Amino acid sequence: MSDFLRTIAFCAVAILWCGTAPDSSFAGLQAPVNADAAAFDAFSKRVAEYTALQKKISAALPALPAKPTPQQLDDHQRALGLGIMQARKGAKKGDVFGPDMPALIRRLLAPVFKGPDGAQVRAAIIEEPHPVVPIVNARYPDEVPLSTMPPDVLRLLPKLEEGMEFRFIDRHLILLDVKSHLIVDVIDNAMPA
Amino acid sequence: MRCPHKPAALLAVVLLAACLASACGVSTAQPAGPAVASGPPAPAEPPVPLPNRDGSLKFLAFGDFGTGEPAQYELAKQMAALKSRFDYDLAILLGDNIYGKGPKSFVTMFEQPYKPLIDAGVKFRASLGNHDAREQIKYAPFGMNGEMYYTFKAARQSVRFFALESTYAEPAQLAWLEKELKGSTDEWKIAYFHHPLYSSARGHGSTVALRNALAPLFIRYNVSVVFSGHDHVYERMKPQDGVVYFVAGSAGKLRPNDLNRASTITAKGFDTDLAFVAAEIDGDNMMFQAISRTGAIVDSGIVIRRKAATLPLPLAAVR
Repeated sequence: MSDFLRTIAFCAVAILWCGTAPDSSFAGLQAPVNADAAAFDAFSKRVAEYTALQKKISAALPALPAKPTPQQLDDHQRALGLGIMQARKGAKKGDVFGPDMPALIRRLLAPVFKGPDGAQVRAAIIEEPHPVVPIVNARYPDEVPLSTMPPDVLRLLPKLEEGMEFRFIDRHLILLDVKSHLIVDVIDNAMPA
Repeated sequence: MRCPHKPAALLAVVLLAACLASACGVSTAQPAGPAVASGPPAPAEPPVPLPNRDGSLKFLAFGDFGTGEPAQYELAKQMAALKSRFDYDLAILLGDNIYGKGPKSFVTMFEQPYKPLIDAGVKFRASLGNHDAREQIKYAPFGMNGEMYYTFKAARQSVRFFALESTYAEPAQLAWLEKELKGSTDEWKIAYFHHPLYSSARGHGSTVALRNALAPLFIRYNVSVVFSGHDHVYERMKPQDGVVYFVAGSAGKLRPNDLNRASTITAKGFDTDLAFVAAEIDGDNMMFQAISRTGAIVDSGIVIRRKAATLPLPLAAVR
């Protein structure tokens, strides 16, 4: 085989190899996305564990009638909350959000709050400020109205199971159990200053 | 040079303008007057009956009522008084239904003030506000059937209501809303929820972040009317992209003189006393009155329902 043919063959092989090898730039993009997805996935699993506990405690309570009175609703909610608080005694920040979510959430939300509509989004969330510090595994303070969660914020956060919500208290993002009215977990200063 | 067809041309222009106005769902408020009514309301007098026709859908809309204060009870008496002359059987609630905490609040802030309505069989269909505990969705008298957001067809006329949860506009709710709006064949589509997309009140004002998500759906799927609360005033907006927006958040709480008098979006406002909206849908028309605590009508008019822009308008719709 002549040098010319060897060169042609080498080039052909090189072109074929380049065509089938992973694109390094694409692979570079995948890594952080997968890291985010993995953090979301791990978070979702911890939420599922929490809701399994909630359902187990709820199942042990007297069932609500089809048309419960406000008193029955309140009694049931407080009993459920008490049961969860006892079962999660010693719960602390990060138990459900996990180690990766705080930084991830802050990074994801920062462009929303610092973007052109950031002031409006912030104002919508903190329209009735209350000087309250959220406490993990405690009842959501009754005197604090629920923050509005604008669509631009919610679309960046992972989907939650029914009965679980993200809310803000001041700049802190909380995971709220709607059924028991408990603060399940907190990310401090998820909203930038 | 004189145009021999000038009168006919003028008439055509007027008719065309009226057609365009109708297509945009423009309300024709009566009587004309200052955009924001101020000063003491008129003395109590029986509300002027709406067309009040048999077979029409008659309903009330009000929000931010659950205070348990005497003012709430006084407005509730006006609602009860109206019931005897205007036989509505539906009340849509615009959120902040119960400001208090604890089971007794449901009694003092809802069951007692509206007892005459409840006893008369008026069905309440609530939406939630930022002050409302989530367990309200299971409180049967609020008609939410355990749902944060829901839709229902009115008992009369071709009307469908969409009750939304505006404090938590998650993607799933927006997708649900689009699916329901798209699938609805009802002539009237009316949305209601707590946070106003448009408001001239200084207390809160327009919820722009929510407007960006919802208004395009309302425009695309021919929603004619939107009711909200949150701001403790009454305000009717000039039609926005053809949709008529009401703020009726003063059925219990009031922020006196909160409306920005310089606002360019106000068609009519009232911020010196509590108020609620009484409405009647008959065919293509929704007649409405905003009624104050003294029984004075502080706003009234007709909304003509929106139709698909491509459809020709019947002459009857021209006003």
